[in-house]
Amino acid sequence: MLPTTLNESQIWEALKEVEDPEMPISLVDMGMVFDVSVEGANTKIQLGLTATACPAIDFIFYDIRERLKKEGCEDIEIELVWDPPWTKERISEEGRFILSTWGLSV
Amino acid sequence: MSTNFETVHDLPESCQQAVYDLILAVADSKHLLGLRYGEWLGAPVLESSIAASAMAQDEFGHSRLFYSLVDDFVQAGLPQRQEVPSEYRNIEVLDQPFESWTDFVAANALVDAALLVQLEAFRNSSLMPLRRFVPKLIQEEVFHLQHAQGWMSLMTNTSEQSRSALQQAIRKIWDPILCWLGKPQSDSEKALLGAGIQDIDSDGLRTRWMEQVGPLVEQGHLDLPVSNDTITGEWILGSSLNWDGWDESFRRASKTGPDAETFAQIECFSTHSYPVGT
Amino acid sequence: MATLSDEALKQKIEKGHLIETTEEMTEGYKKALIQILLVQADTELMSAPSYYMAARSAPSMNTRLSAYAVIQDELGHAHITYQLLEDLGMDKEYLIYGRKPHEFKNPYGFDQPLETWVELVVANAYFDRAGITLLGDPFENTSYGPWKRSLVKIDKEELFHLRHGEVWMKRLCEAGGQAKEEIQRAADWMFPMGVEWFGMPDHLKRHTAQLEYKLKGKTNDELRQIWLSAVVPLSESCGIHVPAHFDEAQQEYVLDYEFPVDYDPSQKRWKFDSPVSWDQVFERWKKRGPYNEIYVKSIQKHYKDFMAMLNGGN
Ligand SMILES: [Fe+2]
Ligand SMILES: [Fe+2]
Repeated sequence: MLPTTLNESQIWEALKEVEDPEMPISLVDMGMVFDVSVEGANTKIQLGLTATACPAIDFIFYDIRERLKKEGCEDIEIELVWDPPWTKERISEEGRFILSTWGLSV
Repeated sequence: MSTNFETVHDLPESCQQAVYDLILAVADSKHLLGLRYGEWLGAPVLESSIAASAMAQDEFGHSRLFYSLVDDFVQAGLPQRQEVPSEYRNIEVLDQPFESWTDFVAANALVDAALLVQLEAFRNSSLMPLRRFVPKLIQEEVFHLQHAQGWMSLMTNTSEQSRSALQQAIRKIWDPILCWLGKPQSDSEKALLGAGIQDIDSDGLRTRWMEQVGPLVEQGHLDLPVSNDTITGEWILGSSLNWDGWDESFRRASKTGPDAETFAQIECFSTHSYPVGT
Repeated sequence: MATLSDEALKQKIEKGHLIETTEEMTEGYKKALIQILLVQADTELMSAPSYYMAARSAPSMNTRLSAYAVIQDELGHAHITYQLLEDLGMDKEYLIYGRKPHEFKNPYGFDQPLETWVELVVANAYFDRAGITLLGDPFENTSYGPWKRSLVKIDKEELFHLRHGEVWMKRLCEAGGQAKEEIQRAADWMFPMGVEWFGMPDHLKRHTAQLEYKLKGKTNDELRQIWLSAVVPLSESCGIHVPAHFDEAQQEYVLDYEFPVDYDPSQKRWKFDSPVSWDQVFERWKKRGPYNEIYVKSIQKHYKDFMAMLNGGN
């Protein structure tokens, strides 16, 4: 596949399909995607982890890259942000709803 | 207003060593605290076994961030520390496993509080990478102190036996933890303050620590050398600290480091032959 | 207890009705439910000390962190499941801290020492796969509502354990050399342990209360097939040999040894040339494996003394 460039909202859409490895909702609904920026062929994603001790960093990075590769994005930079820190308030309405239907609270 | 430093490379040489020493002392202390917490699958209630495991992970997560700064120092030319127990700079009371759940509770309250006030003193740090991750760590520590407070109030309110056992456990670790917050007027303290790495001196840290621990001591009627000045409302330390043999760069009096069984767990990181990175 | 007869209850369940409260249960239903939940709770709980033993040799901060995360999850799963038992009138505290080691109902595999980080990796790949297989069934099929709902979080977390195991198994095998040899050695004793996990074959035991009450939906052999169909291809893709293969004629996985066989826990070795009867297997299970007491004690060690002190004793 030829390298293509998605615009920012298309990247957000794609990331909405990447599930948190430990929760039944997407990274976007978890509020972990802080920012997406596209410059030429380069896609930069700012990611906030829910915990400093996140044991699944490996998997999250891998899943993001795999999902975006499907769209032809190869040049992906993922940067961890701690400032501001992720908080529960960042979980989307939809995410909250899905979690509550599973009887989960965060 | 002092300058900010985007990386450890930018630190003036005059304070580099002092900053490195403190960062490594925090990293090692959190690493060891994580190992200690992780040993408690057998807390007296399952909820606390789960909490202990969660707190252990937090400590590892924090130490991972501090070790990444240590790596930057090594990149900047400071010597890599040798992987031997005597080179470890963890708070002394973490050298061995806690003997009892009471010891766990005492450390949970006192050690976590000491590390927390140190983190809080980094909130406005001139060392930017440190300043950026510190709020997240402080956020995670809230739960640790709540856990300690819950157990302290249970132990001080339930029976005289549990109250006095807790008092004894706290006494055992009291001094080394207060000393760990730094020696007043030491060269390293001056360097840290001068470069704006932390915004408060060691006695100020001790006061903040007493603000955390003092109310618990008072509510629990524990006989410990800390009291509240009824006029100023300030917490006052009721004993002087013994600095004999204190090594300010290690923040320890003894240089034994973690015991053999503990160190075996750390040594695995450097002796294995698996393709795992760090 | 239910005013319904056992037969009427089974008919109701057959129509897809979910049981929510003890009032709806018959004596028989409740007994079977407690039995199956106790096995799950004890398995979750005892996996924690065995994974912890292995975590002590983790080769890096990150791998130890992942191991601790798995351990915390397992303790959490145990907690959720003992809570379900408490809701059925059992005493959770007694179940965790009051029972003797041999009274715990975890499978024989969690009575064994996990001595290296590599054994943890293979345990996550094989044993947690067994867990997912066994718990995926009630998640889909169980007639007990509270259990079904509790499994959402548990299954999701188990998937993380499994992925942890599979990813590291692949990485270590790709690296080859000593790492791969260690995986093979672990697989040699852990694979047959997983096969045995699912219990007696169907031709010896088919109709159980658990199936009749639809506490679960699949038979032992069906579950074993699901497990084999995941674990055998995984192992093969890693270049790890396991004594089983897919049989084209039967269109299912078959074992390359006569099942069941004898096991020597002191050597961690299966004696493939010594087939035994199921009675002998049950006897071995009943005698418990070498780490049963050690693991149970590591959970219970401080409970009694601390509680005595807390309540004013010495
Ligand atoms: Fe589990
Ligand atoms: Fe698991």
